[in-house]
Amino acid sequence: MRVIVPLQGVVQGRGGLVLGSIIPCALFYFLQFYLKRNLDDPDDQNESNSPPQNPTARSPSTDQLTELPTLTRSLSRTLLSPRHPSGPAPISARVSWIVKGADSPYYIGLSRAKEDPYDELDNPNGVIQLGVAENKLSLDLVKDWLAENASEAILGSGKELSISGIATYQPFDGLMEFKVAVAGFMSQVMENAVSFNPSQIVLTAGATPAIEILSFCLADPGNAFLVPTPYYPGFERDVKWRTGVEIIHVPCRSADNFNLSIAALDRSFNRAKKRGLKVRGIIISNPSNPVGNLLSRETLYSLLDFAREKNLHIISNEILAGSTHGNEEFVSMAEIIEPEDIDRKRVHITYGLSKDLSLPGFRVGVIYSFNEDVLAAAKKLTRFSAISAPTQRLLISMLFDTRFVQTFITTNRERLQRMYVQLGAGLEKMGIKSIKSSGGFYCWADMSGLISSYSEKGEVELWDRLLNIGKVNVTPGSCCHCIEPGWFRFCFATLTEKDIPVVMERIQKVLKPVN
Amino acid sequence: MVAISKIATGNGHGENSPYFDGWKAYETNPFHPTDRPDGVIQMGLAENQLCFNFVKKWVIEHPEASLCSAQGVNKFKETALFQDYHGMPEFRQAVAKFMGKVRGDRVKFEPDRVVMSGGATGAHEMVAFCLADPGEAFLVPTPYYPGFDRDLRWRTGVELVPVVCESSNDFKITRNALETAYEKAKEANLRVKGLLITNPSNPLGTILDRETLTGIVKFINEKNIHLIGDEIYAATVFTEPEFVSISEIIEEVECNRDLIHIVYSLSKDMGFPGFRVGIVYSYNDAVVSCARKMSSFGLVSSQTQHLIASMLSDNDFVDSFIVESKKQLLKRHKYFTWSLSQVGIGSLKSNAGLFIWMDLRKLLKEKTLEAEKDLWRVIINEVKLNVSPGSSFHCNEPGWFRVCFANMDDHTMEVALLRIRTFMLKHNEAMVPQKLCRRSSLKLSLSRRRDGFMSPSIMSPHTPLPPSPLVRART
Repeated sequence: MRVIVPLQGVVQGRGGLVLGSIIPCALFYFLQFYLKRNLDDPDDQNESNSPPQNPTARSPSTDQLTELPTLTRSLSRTLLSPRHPSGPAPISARVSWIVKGADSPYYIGLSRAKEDPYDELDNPNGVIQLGVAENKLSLDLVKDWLAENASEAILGSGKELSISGIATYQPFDGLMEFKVAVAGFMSQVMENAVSFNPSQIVLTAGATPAIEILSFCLADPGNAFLVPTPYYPGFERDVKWRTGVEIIHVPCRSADNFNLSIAALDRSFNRAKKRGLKVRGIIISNPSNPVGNLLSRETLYSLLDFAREKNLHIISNEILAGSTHGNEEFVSMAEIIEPEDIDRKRVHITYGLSKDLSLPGFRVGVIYSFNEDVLAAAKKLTRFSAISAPTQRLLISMLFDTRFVQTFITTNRERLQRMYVQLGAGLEKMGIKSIKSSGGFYCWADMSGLISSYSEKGEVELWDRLLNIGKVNVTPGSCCHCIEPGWFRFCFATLTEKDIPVVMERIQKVLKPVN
Repeated sequence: MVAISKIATGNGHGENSPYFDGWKAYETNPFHPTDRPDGVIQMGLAENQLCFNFVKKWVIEHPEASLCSAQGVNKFKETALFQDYHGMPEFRQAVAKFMGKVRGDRVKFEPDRVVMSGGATGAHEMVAFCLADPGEAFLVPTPYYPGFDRDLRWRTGVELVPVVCESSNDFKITRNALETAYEKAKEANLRVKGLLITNPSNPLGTILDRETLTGIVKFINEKNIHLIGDEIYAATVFTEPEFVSISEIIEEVECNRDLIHIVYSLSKDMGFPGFRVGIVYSYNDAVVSCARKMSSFGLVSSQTQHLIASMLSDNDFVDSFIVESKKQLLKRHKYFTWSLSQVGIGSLKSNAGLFIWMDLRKLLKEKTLEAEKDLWRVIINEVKLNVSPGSSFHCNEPGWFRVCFANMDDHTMEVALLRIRTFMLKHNEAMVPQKLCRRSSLKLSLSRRRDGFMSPSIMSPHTPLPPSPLVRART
């Protein structure tokens, strides 16, 4: 009992040896008891996204779904792996803290809205979904294109159906033709301010693996990225889950309209250094989610300077570049990089068709990089997340129809603008102000004056009342790690104009008692 | 200059292994019947192209299954938006049903345990992430698919410990071999978390018999380690003995089901590798739950889910597809192995898979890895065939090669066989005189065979294989 001897020194005076041996023993047993209790608690909500399961025999493994976020690897082995073979089958430590996210309001709200979805005629008392950043406003345009160009889409003009062209192994990082089409689309979306080179593109099955692959390529386990808050809740999964990489928050404040300040970046960088964390890069979202603001050209230049100074990478998540509305100019990171600039090797852009083309189901993500080594590594990693070939073929035809693309982008922007203005106005009538934003599908609204206590608890309470009494699902700022309580994200692109007054009525119902 | 990660700069991708050298040779000079008749023929890719016409017919006759047709486009909106990591219920049901049919409906699969992933590649990696932490290990019987070195280890940090199987007993997985590997791992201070078996086997093309499977299930239960069954070739079993899945064994033998996981895909059985449909089927609720969330990194395109759901719920199509596929594979396999036997090349007796495990041990100058590499270089550069050397599959005995036969049309197959024949002729001529008597009988059989080769239609699955003194029986 080596631990006793130094403790003996602490417990001086009467009963030194006895207390010196009892106290550490007691502490040890309490620790075991505490941990054992957590191990034995069954996790009720493994899958907050799923409909209620059949009550068939639940496997004994569900008892292993624990929440031990601060576990170190060696400790996890002791806890999850019994010494004798007849105990429950051990799985990885990763599993335990991955499941932790299931309880967050973000997922609970999603599943509630799914179980009881609002429908004007069939279910007028259902939950109205304002928690998903999806765009349904312009899907009809895509559908019409498909209806008119059906056969060409899969077969290619005038050709016969070539099964081998879609069924066989294709390059994991995407068909060259598709890369060319995507490069052209990205240019169009950014109003031809930039020309994208198809050979600098690596395609992935959605933007989710694009971010993860870049995290694997740019950082080692234990390293960190700086990420301005509030940020997209999915980064927790994409950047951290399997990579072992950390996220360091860079708080943005309402006083700055949640714009990124280099001073805040610097402070966070130093904080990380003090904690002994090596920062490898910065992840920005432009347009940002959940706020919807755009990074100015000036900020982007300052960001590049900062990255140069601290020797960091920049990942610019530009997945909403085509979903801007309003008059502010969108500037891509690609625009401010000179072709001969040595610092271009720091810059990587992620993109996808889930937002700008409303095709999240088709799983199309993009890594665009100026760094050949990163491209080479990312290319090899796409074998785990490659885009389905028939989907690529279908979209090649669509994206090459530049006239359709232009019409779509313009119409979509108009519709987004209209909804944004209407929702914003509706909220303002109730005294809820939102940050003036130029991109994305949401209003970032300040309800800090309406929460019972100026804290995360107060915020979650209001979220709960909005969901359960008002039957409206919104995203509380704490899910996005917003440093100021009381901010909420209201997504408007899954609604129709008729829904807006209904939403306002419901919110009003919830707010009345507080006022 | 700004650095990148160890994963990005390291060799975990495994593309420097000889397995991929042949691919590089093929890519620089690929065979084409008219444009490049002297190019390298790809026999290193386990792809199933034998049933394309069958599938094509179905797709054309069912325009509603495809979103880009007048009949199917009404489903477009909901499909385009569908990104739920649970996957479409119709898709999961269709896949579960298909998996059952492939096993002769002897077992039922629950749709709620079907989890999607980015191909079987993504499925294997996902299972490794769920079951093991960095530094822990899986046991894998050799010879095994080279991709495992990358898929199970690269980003996960998990180790692989080989379970050495010998040609003397046809590479069977013995209890002894399992125990030896387990002990070896222990000695190396590696914690074994699971055993990964591929059944039907890649590269052997054989299936595990009931006895072996039962023994394996008992072993993993005793050691309390997971069993991952890669059954990606389940529907390619083209002749007796019948395929037995782990899912069947656990109904017969006492087993902790939390240890059992199946990796599947449509890439081999249906010939759809381009669709990227990987499946993890686990009997462990925690693993299903975790894998489902992880599947966000490799969800199957909803358009593909929709198409597959339609296709695989067409019972008539599925039943006739399975039968037709087996028929085509059997025909190709029989013809190929028979043709090889005529020039004195034997192979491991197999009844599944898209390849054969060819025995070229007698062609080696000496029983070493170097000699195998030399022979392989000759095959790539002179015979112009990309075959895969046994060493890249971690085979402990040099001289074995995996040759794929289902990824080409009949004409290309003939060209490949002609090249092999020519090579063997040259080789036999170069051999020492005591083999003269064999050579003359070889010449005789060759001239007989020439007729056979010129008119392959004479060959049918029922043609008995003519005995050749050069065929070494591989039981």
